Amino acid sequence: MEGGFGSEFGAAGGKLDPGLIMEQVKVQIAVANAQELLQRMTDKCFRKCIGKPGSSLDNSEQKCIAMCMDRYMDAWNTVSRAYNSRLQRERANM
Amino acid sequence: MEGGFGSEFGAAAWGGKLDPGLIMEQVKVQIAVANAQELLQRMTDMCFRKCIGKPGSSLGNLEQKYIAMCMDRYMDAWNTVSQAYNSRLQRERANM
Repeated sequence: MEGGFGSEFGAAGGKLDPGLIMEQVKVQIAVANAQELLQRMTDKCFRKCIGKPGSSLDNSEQKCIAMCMDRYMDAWNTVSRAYNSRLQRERANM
Repeated sequence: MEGGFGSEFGAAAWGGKLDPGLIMEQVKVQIAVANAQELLQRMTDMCFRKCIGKPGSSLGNLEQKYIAMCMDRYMDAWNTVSQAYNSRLQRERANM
């Protein structure tokens, strides 16, 4: 958030613009979510792909980690879709 | 936060008005500190699990070297995940 707090929130004239504040909040939340996703994937994939840590990551470990990230995202999408379907079914039955 | 809350914001609080820009800078610093702390916690958990079998009366040289290597490999894994994830995002955006 370069340029200081005031400029992002359009604080010209001393009044803060709630719309701009909300936009910034959404951006920060998205950044935090992306960070947390990277943390979880790194943990899971490190555990699954690295047996005994060596002096560097060899090719097969790097491939495993990249595949692991893809499979985690696939699993995420599968869970999301299945959950949305369930929500819709439950709403239809209300 | 040495010197108490007021001094960091002292210049900002001159004249009784707080400078949102300076507050935001301080918030960013604190968030960075918290993130670093959390990363240390995760790496310690992971590497303790991988590197320490039966805890002894001290950490031997081998265990210490192993833990340091583990930390390096964890950071390598983080970078690999980041790069792969960014590539995936770009592919998905290109396909939209």
